[in-house]
Amino acid sequence: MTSIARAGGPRRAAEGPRYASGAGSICRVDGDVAYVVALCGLPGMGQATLRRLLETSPAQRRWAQVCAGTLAPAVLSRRVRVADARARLERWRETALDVDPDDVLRRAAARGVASHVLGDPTYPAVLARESDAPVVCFTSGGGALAGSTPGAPGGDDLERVAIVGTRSATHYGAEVAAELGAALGDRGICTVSGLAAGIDAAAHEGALASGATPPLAVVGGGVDVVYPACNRRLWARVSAAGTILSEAPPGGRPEPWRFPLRNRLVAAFSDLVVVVEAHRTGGAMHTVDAALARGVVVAAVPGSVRSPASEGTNALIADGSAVARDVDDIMALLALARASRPPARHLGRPAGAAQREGSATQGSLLASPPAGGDLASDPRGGEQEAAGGWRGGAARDLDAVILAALDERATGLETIVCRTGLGLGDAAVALERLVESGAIRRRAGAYERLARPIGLGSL
Amino acid sequence: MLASVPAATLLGVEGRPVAVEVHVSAGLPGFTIVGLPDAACREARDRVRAALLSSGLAWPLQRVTVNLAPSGIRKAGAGLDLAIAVGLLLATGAVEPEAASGCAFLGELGLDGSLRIVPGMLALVDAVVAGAVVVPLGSLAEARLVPGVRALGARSLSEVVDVLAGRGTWPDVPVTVPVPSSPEETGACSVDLQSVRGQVVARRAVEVAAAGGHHLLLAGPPGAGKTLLARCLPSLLPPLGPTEALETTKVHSAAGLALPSSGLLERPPFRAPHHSSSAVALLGGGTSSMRPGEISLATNGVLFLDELGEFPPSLLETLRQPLEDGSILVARARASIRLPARFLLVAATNPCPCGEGGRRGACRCSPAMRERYLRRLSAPLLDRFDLAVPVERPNALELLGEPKGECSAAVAGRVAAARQLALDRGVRSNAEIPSNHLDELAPLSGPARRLLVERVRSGELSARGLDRVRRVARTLADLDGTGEVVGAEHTALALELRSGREVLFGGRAA
Repeated sequence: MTSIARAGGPRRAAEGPRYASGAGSICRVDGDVAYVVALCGLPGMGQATLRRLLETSPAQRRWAQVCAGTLAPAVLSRRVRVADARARLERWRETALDVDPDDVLRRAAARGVASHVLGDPTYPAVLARESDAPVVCFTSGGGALAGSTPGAPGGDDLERVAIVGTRSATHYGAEVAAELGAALGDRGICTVSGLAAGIDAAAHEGALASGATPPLAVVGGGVDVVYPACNRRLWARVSAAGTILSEAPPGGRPEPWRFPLRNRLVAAFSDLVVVVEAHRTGGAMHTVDAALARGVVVAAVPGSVRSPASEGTNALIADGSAVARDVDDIMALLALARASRPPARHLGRPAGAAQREGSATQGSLLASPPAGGDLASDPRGGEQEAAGGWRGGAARDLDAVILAALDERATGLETIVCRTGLGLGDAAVALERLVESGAIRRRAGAYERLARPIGLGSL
Repeated sequence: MLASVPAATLLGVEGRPVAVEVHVSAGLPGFTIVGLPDAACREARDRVRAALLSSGLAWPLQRVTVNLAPSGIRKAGAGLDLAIAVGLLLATGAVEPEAASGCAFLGELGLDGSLRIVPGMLALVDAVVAGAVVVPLGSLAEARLVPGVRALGARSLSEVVDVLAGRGTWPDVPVTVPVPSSPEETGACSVDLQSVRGQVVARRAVEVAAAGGHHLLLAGPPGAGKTLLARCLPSLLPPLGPTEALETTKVHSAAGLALPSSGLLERPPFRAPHHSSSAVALLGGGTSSMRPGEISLATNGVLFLDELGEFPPSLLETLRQPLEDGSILVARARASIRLPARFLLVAATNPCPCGEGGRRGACRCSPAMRERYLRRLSAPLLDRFDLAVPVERPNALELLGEPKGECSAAVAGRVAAARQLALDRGVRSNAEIPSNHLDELAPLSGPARRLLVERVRSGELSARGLDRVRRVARTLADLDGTGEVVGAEHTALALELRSGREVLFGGRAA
């Protein structure tokens, strides 16, 4: 109970005024949608820049300025150097000259992509409350997305739980994610995830298997750009049964900078964030940070202390996050969050909230592990010797040589032998040992190093 | 006037004894052959007539009936020409009956009376019911491989007649007819392992395949050296033993392929049929003599299927039963025969139509295309491969700078020693160790057992896969000469040498 209170707390209570709808600050003219979408599609255009452009001038005029090349570099962030800003504006102009805004909108609609501009009745209500709400977002899929429609994925009255985690999930993680997705669906709770590989995909699979509640996917690239390709079928099914949402324009490539922003939206949409499996760093932790910044409860699924894929989640639990062992835990947490929501507007902050806020502003709960928490940094320190014969001292040396030759990219035995000069038999045994210890992973006949070699602290 | 001459005809790779009966009687001049001759056999009439006349012998203006007994089986080819001619000469009295008694005659006649070799001489000589056999001089070496039969050679019909009439002796010369040996038989087309740069893993896989008789699948992008590696195999295999050599020679002879001048194939054959080959060409049958197919020609050698994914799936499935039995039963309406087909299967395949195997940026195939391509290779067929090795393209350093690897001769030495160990165990090769003898013949060390248990428990290894891994590990231990117990390094490497299936098929064929 205490841990829940520490990690959770009142949702959007204290931040209420800060996250008040920013709709008023955008200059709006009827029929502007096409120009907003066209502006959004310019190369390197993020929602923050778009917002800065549209706060002072309607979209149609901005578009004309972009085409004419009369946009002042100062409208871009002050952090951008003037020369860079000019180069970007020039690139925009070149791109814009080939674009007909009406055509962009028509083609998007033809592909089943709907555009929602901040302030539209269809704009998701929960997003509108964000201080940095996207000026425009795009959706595809059967589930209607409407801020005011009861029960719609973007609406205010549907409860949503984000199930997030690592892309390199273990079998355990994928199973748990799918079970949770299905169980939540059965209880009428919308599963929010990122439609990435691993945990995300498993969660959506589970939600679809339940079939009772349409899931919501918040993706990094355009809603019509399948990424990763192995999710092609899942993508179509989510689109058919639920909603796919993105702030990237239709056809927008899944550029790396878009993913942290995507994670912020996942957190914004959710009443509860469940991390099923996470490495110590990675996208799932971005989502956790974003959730904590918004006062959204974060729960973690406990995992094996030997699994690198559970390092992040176990560390979250150690740092006081809520624990989600099964769907009942999640339902209890949701009930608490719900109970604390409406009255929280009038109540003061619960004890400990300030303290939590402190660590949240530092970026992450993980950034400041509890004093004396050395355990988390090397949970398997002296485990290796215990297992006897084939893990002797000489074996450890071999393992070290192999580990030094590996990185996060998949590497075949051939290359490993070339790099290390080891015999085939020795290398094969050492690889087998390392896979078992969890320091590396075998996939499709190749090996890759996992985030942190376990039990080889000397390296 | 009646004469009977022993001869033989070929069916599959075996000979069937045939008695050529010639009856000459008064009546309208004519020549009839009865007893199920095929077209080539029926045409013997014209060849025999021309050969007799060319040799200065008389053609009887009488009624001649030739019966090929037993008349129930089909007689194929021209191998009975000489027997018919000699029978005719005996029946007309041109040759004394005693001169030819107990002697069989095999060979095709030219219009000029010359004797020509026929396919399957080894099997034919083996089948004749006679103490001596006269064959074309070109086949004498081959015919002499058969014990218990005195083989005699002749160049022409007139030479045969001269000897039978007591005017000369059999020419006992070494074969003067030059026999063109195809490079495959002499091993000239086989590549030395030294010419393979880099490819440490694949080289070892080829060595293991040679030593243990394990079927090998090489998977990798074009230009990685899969074909080159496969072509190295013949240079690693030990020469054929006496029984194997005779068996293989019989098949090659029956298919009418050229044999080395010694008459005996002593190097393991290497057959690489193209993926457009028909089922009959691959499996055998088709002609009335049931010509052996490529899988039989590869007996005791290597069958190499390059571009495995391009072979029609139905054709590949037909290989499953011969792979299991070591022979193939070819059944036709007229006859069914068993052809030997015990070969080492080596296959090479690209991971997808473009060959790049899903490598980001390089592969131009959609996931659907890749899946369709790989679906041609069924799991049961893939199951037959003990070794499945991903072959990566060698990098520039390996191509240019690396010191050369071991030459074939050095590896062949180890292979021969390992093969001998298998023979000492009472199996032809380690790949044939029965599952119930694995514990006794391939005992595992503690760590090795631990490793396998881990893999089986995680579901990465099936029970059948486990046996295959243990056999390969046995071979690896034999090659290293580390004694009876199979260690962890051998087991781990054996698992590694299967990883190609993961590359190709993900978890589909575990």
